Amino acid sequence: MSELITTLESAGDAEQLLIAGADTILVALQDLSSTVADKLTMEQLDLVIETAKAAGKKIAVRANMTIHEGSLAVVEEKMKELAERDVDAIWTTDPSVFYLAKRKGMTDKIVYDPEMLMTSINDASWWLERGIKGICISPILTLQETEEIAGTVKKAVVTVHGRTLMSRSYRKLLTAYQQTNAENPDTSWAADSKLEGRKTLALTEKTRDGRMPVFEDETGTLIYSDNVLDSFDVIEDVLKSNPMGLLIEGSFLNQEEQCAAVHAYKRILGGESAAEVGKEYRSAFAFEPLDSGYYEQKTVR
Amino acid sequence: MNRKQSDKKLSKPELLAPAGDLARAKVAINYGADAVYLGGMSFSLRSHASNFTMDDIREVCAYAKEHGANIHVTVNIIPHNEDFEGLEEYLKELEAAGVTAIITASVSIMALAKRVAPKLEVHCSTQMSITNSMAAKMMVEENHVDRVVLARECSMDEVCAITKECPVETEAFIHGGMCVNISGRCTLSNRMTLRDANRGGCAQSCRWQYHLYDGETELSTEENLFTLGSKDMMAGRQIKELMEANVSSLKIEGRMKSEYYVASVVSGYRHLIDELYECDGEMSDERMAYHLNEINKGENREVCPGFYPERAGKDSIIFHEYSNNSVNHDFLGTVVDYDATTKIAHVQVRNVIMKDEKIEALMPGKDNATFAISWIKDKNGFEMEKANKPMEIVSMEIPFEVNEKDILRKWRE
Repeated sequence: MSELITTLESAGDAEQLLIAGADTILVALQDLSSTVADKLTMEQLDLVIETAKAAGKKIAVRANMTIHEGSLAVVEEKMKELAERDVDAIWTTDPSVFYLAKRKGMTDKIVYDPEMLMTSINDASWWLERGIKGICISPILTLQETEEIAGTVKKAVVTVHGRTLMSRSYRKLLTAYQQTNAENPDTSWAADSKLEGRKTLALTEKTRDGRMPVFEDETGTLIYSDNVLDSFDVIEDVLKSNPMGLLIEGSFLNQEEQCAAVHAYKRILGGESAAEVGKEYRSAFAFEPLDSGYYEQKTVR
Repeated sequence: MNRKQSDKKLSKPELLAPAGDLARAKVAINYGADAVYLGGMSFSLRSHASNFTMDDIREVCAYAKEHGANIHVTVNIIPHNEDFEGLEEYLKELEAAGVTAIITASVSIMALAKRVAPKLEVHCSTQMSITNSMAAKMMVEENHVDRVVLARECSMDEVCAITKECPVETEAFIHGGMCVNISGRCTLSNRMTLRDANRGGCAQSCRWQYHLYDGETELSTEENLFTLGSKDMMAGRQIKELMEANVSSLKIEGRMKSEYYVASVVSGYRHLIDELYECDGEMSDERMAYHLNEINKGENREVCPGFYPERAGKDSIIFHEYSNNSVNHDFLGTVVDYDATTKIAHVQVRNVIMKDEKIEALMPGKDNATFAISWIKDKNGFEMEKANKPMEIVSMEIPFEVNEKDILRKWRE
């Protein structure tokens, strides 16, 4: 059966997520992760590992930062520390993490997650031939494409719920904008009020309505989707392709909402009707811009 | 590709230029590109660039061979399952056509090329976002790539360190458009227009305008909406350091750029690289300023040095909509023919040419030269004060020898 994976947005959320039905908690770590989720210290990670293992569940670490040359030594040290811990998987975007994992005999813990770039059976197979644990399918694919990849490679994670990452910049775009407008008396922030690290910011394209959460930290600027993906209409088809895991992204969802999503998909995995469960969920969170993402929308060139 | 004499500090890298069609590829080679990269009709980003048929690729390979240059072909879409159809045959055809290398970001395309077209070099595209030496080594060890194209987010220190450690050649961008986001890691276009940025459909949504909110409070103002567009890169001042670092290839971006842009920018960097190599990096500030000015003459957009000197900050962003697209009217015409006895040239007009105007000729393999137009005549021999019909053939006296296809532009200090 597919395992249910969800992100840990705040260190204190682990227990509730496990109670809701998460099989794997995906943790962001300092010096390894680039996400709006809280980046934990190793000590905080130890506590989450303890909580998860006590419940018989798994821990994965999201090492998705773009790693620059000057960070290699720190990353190598972090990998060494992870090797000493009971971590079940390391999700990465940067090939250097695979390089390090191979040298430490940890290849089988690597899940390759290049965000929007994993779009074919062939690329997925190439990575899996290297002996890694799994791959994450891009959330910008149609249902058919997703099923084809997951059904063929067997070790795929499918993002089924939440706000997905739309863009990643190494530039601090919010800070740059703030600095540029620092002299403008019409702007609505104090010059000493940092936008970096603020989790309440959003962008709206001037001719459109959707609000896209935007977040900046030391790793750069991240823009998330204006919609909240839900897969209730297609999840039964997705499950027929036997994905290794289903990912619920918790970015910019409150804890109640994230736990409710985890619980909803757990019920579906347990055999309840996706249509019924989805109806309940959509009713409870009707204020969110829920939609089916790209499952039924094919992008063009 | 690096060439270095043992007594020199600097190596001489390949100058790699873009081309959107056959004419621009030939211009790039004529003006000094050691290699040209281009896209075929399939499997390539920049779907709006006028891409090459296989016949075009064969022709440009033959032309490049005659002139001692190489051709690289971008196979740089992020492929979906359906995109692999015909790819194997395509790679074989590229190899047979005499293409030197493919540039790709797909690990399976890299592996396929090595298997079915082993004479093709495989260059790991900048879309792999290689920003450290271990990532570079991984691509070499696991996929036997022949060159690693570095991410534009690399600092100069990182370029030096990666190049030193990388088991194969490295390539670095020196000029042209920059994505504000990490290459390949942007689906703004997909979300807002359903155009797939990673398969050549980017709508450049980063250059649109956005309201910025903190909760329900708008932080932006109507006059100063948020945008993400990046200034173009112009790394002329960093060429010496890139040569010292032993980077094998210096790349100009811009497959959708004009013939004039290609000629002007390639010529500018050709002269700069050659002179830096000749003087082994001991170039005066005055000469450097001259070269930077020459490179900038072909540029019509705001530029910055990218991430080389420091992490790109506010001065690398354009905070106005549809920015960076002003039109450069400097390109006045191309030489059709020249009679060395009478010193009369026929010129095809591209922008308004005024009598008495001071003109600069861009000539492949030669230093630029200037002259003042003493007269212009139309095809019937009537004198004109100005020539302003695009593509009209006019005649004028040019006091030094020029050749067919040489470019005439406004002279600017």
